Amino acid sequence: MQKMQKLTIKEYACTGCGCCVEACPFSAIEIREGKATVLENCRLCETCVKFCPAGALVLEESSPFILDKNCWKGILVYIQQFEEEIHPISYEMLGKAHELAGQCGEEVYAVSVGYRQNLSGLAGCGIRRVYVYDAQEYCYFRGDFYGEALCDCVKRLRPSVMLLGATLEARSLAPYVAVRFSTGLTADCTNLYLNDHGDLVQVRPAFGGNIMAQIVTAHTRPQMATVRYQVMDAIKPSGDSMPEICHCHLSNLKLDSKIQVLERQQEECQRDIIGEKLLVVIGRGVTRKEDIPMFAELAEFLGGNIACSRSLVEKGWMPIEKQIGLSGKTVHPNVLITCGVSGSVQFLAGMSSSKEIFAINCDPNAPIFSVSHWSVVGDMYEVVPTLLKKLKQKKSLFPG
Amino acid sequence: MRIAVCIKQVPASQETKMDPKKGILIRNGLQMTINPYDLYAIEIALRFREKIGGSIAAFTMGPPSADQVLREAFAMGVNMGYLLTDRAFAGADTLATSYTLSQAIASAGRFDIIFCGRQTTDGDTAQVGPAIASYLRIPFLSWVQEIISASADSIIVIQSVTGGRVMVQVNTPCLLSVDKDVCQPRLPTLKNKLEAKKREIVILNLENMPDTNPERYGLDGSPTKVERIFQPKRAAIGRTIAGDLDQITDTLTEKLLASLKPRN
Repeated sequence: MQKMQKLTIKEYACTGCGCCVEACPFSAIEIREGKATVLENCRLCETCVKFCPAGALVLEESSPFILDKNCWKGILVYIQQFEEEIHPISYEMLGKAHELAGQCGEEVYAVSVGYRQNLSGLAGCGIRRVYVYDAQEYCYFRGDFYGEALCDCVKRLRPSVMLLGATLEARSLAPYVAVRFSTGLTADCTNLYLNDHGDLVQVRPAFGGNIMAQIVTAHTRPQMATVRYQVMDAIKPSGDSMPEICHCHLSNLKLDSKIQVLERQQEECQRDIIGEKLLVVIGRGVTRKEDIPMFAELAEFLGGNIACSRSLVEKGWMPIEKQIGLSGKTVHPNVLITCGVSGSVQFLAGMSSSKEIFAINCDPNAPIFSVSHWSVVGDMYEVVPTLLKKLKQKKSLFPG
Repeated sequence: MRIAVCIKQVPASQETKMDPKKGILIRNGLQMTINPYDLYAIEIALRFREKIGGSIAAFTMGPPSADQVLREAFAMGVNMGYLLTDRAFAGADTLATSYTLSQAIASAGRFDIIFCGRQTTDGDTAQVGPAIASYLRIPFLSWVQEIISASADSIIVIQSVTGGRVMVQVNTPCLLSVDKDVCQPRLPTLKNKLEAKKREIVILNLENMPDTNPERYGLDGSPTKVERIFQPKRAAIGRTIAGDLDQITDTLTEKLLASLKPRN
């Protein structure tokens, strides 16, 4: 990749006021000897340019690199097989792919890797063509073999965009492909759309807290993005027309995989928070591990389950299976009660479509209140015990 | 056995706030720390060395102050530390970061196994481990929950996959991204921490890398670019339940029971 742009300071205009230093999210500007100096870790996000009152900061082009993007067309979706069916996340990627294809007048393609795959679920999904890699070597997921198959598909099709549902497998598979094509990969996107240049705008939370970053892969292809389960809308298959099928074989599958699956372990059945109709969600407001059972009791009493935001998992107080959020699970219960959860963007991404949200937080400015239907500004350590007591008093009225 | 561990220095707090009026980040002297997930990678490397023997080298890419995390690694027992630092490396996205780390690892010799933490707390992508392995053209396994056995030639682990876990064997050289449950990281003693301060760190600049083309590193070597940052605007849609504790809990009780009534 060649040098494209550079941030320069018009020294005659710079007054050394320091507005740019304050504005920079990457700490990449300093005032030295009364003038702004751009440091090497500048990310060219142009925030400082907007904030300079003297207009002394300028983004300059130097030897612009033009990729012939006309050679790269189409939206490619990775279809993940799971237990002899298509994983539901793939339908969500197809849904988004169709939206994007509509925005640029292109086609949707799919790639699927496995052994004796059942592809009937791709009927009526508006896919132009599916590239099928089917061989004994693909009977279980292996990063090297699956990676080679995907790279082969990208070489054949040259898609502009490639979408992968962010399952455990795909999250380690996508970087393999990105490295081979020296291209950009953005993980866990919460929004995707095309801008006026026809580039894919990839939006995801960044810097923790309540901040979003808007990312583009302007000069390389394919533009790769992963999306978590239950973030995008699934396509509704209509009709039964199957896509054109292209059976693909890798010419050099003589490569020995260095990976071998020895056995599959049965996962012990845990009540998954995803299926629950009611969830009590605890967050950073919980100050002691010993307090957690009280909230679990509330959840159980109401016929639901307990869950948490990321901070309690990081403290080791709750297992990761209970985590709601972008790097946790996305839930859609009928009732969700948050206690001491501030509501970062990552957390909201995992629950904001819950039908009825009750939020308890002592901070009136907590972002959770921007999505809650019922807001309680108060101390959860006072509210919850009293609430539990009153609920128990009304036990006879409680629908068993 | 020659073992490598990749570690990163990250902000200690994740709750960076944005000033909604000014549209900029509020930074109150960010404290930096070792990425918590990396502690598990270091610990598993130490246990490997205890069982099979060998040496451990830690690699980190960052500004000169990132030597802090190498000193923490020394205090836990790591043998060597490499700090990849250069203007040319700065501003890197995950691809450029992975390339830089893979170049440094390649320049430091042949390693039998490379450990990474599953992800960072500031980036969260979990991409760098697999990308490093892809650049080095070695097999990798992510989401490693348990190490079952290891020899000089291969390692058997338990790995999380969609819907369950699998027992997998992988040949060395390889890269493993280990998860939190894999072990409990040891706490360095005060003596170890004091000694760590005196240890030598190998500094690697662009010119030390096999590939010295600056366009493969840092901002220039990053195919993804942050266009802008913003705070999503959300209008508060809900109603406040106000009053004293008694009134609030009465209202909550009433509303919750109403929500739970089976709908006809």
